[in-house]
Amino acid sequence: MTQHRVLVVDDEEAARYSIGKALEAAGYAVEVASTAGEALKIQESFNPDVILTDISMPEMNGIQFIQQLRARPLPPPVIVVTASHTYDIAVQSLRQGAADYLTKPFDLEQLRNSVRRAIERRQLKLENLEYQRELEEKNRRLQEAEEMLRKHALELEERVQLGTQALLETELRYRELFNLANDAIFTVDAATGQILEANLQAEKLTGYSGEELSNMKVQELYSKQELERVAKFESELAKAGCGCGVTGDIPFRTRDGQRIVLNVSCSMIEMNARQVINLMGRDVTAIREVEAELARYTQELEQKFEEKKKQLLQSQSQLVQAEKMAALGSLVAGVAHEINNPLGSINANNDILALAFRKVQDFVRLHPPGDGTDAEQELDEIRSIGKEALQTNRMACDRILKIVRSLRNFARLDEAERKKADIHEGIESTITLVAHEIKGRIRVTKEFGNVREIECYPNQLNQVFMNMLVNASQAIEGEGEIRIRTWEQDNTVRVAISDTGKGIPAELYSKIFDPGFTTKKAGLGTGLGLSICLRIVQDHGGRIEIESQVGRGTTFTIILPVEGAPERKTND
Amino acid sequence: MTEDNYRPTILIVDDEEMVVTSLRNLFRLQTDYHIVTYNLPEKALEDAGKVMVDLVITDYLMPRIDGISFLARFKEIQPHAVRVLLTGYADKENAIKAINHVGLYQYIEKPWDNEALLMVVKNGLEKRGLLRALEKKIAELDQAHTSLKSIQTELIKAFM
Repeated sequence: MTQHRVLVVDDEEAARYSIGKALEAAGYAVEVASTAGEALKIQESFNPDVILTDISMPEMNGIQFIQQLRARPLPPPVIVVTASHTYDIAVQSLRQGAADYLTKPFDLEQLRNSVRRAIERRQLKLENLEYQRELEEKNRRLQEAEEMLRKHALELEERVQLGTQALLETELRYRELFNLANDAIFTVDAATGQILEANLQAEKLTGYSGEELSNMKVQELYSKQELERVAKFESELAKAGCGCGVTGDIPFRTRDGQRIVLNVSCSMIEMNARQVINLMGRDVTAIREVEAELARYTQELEQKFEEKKKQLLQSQSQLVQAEKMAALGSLVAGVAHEINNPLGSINANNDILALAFRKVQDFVRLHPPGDGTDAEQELDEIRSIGKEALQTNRMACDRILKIVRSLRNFARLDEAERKKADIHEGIESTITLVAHEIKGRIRVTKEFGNVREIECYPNQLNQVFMNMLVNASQAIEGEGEIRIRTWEQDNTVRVAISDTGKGIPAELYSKIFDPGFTTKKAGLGTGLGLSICLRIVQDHGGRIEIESQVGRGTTFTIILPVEGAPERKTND
Repeated sequence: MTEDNYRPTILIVDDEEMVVTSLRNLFRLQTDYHIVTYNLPEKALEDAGKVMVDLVITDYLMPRIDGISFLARFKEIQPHAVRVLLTGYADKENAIKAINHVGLYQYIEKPWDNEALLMVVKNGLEKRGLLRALEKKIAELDQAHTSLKSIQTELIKAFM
């Protein structure tokens, strides 16, 4: 508990002492002053809670002292102690602000009570002051807060005003867009399907007025014949849930019963505690019709394409067949021609021998042996003719044999299987068979190297050699030369067929192997020869190289791996 | 209608020896024609001026000179010789095209029929014989005409 401080002011020492002692005994801290001036000084430093002062004092009396004190901040309560028991002084001192007054002589009890009351009052007053200050502070803060609030409110109001305007603008814009949209837009109650809103395009597309639409449910607009499509779409929408968009085609029925297809995008949102579907539909009736038409058309085209492809494949195989026939035709013509001479000779010699025989018979009948006629000369002539006929016939038969052997070698009908074969045999046979193409105007030189037998289909390779030789001979107008060289290099056997023909322009190199490409006159070539050659050579794991100079000639080099292509069945 | 004791000359050109031999022997046994044969057409042309030929038979397909060219060149040397072309089936088209070009009398396909060949040659020679007779008559007429003219001149001279 704090010790309260008391300042005692009295010019009489005894009084000061007795009062001081009494108060100290009561537990107060006491300071004393003999004059009011001294007391004013002490008051500043001691800051007493209560001051007891005498009234009649030299220099400055008690009333003046009180007046001086009161000029100071928070003056302590002053208890006036007076001996002169006058009403005036009491009133005057109380008027000046004294808290109490004691009339001498007073007992200690009176003194203590008065001091206690004064302190209590001062305490209260101080507390009151404190409260007041706090109150003032709070009040101030309240005012500040109020001010802030007011400002804030003002700001808010401003904002609201702005916001409202923006909202109005947005609403206006939305409205504008809503009606401007080229798509039909509906807002629909998700639970009932009731149309809440529909834009101009919605009216235009459905044929219903806005008023009519606002009294309709969206399902009334769907095409009744295709409700399962709608149902499917709705279930999708329900599955997607709120906030997710779903897109699909829905058939609608217009006011005048026309079927239109809308490509609908819709999403469900929650608005004012109810589920609302925003539905945006674009008229795709024409597009879908065109698409369907297109699909039909595409299908038709595909079908036609397949047919054409089939036809093409068919005609391709026909062409390949035709080329084979052409090659065969050329072969047959050659063989026929080559056989003509020996056959003609044999035929002539048959007649000759028959005649000779008859002449010998006649001769013997006319001139029996020993009749002495010198007919040796005539007989000798017949004999020599017969001998020549027989010799010629042997030659002719040899020739036919050679041709037939070449033919068999070429065709290798008994050897259509893959086997090891000497390409020289095939080349020789082929030369014999195309002899009629080259005989008389083209010299064929052979420079055959020492090459191994290769794994191949000999009859197919012979077709290649024949094609190359015929091409070479046809490239030569008038006289010329075909040179056939063979050698082995890098585990491949190479056959170079060079002609002194008209040559091939470089820009045609890539084309000459194309099926159908030909520079020959109509009827001379199918345009398939080289493409078939290339295929055969590639089937053998090989390739064909070409080197040509216009006006000088061409060299085709066929390069075939010795071990052939990896085994597999060829198509034909 | 050949003249008595006239022995026509036949020229045979073919690069195939066996054909030449066979044809020569056929004619030797069946006819009394005088037969001249060649394997090389250029050699035949070289010698063309040496012997008067009544009928020439040539192969079509020969080295360096084909039958048509040969006949064309032979015609320049001996225009009166009857020309026969012996041809393989494969060359038929070419041969037919050339008939007018060289004034071909006939073409015969290989392998030939001996009887047909002999007949063609016989007819060809007959035609040649008729032409020769005609030429002879024309020459005789020319001669007569010339002598008549000279007689006429003589007469005019005598009367002047």
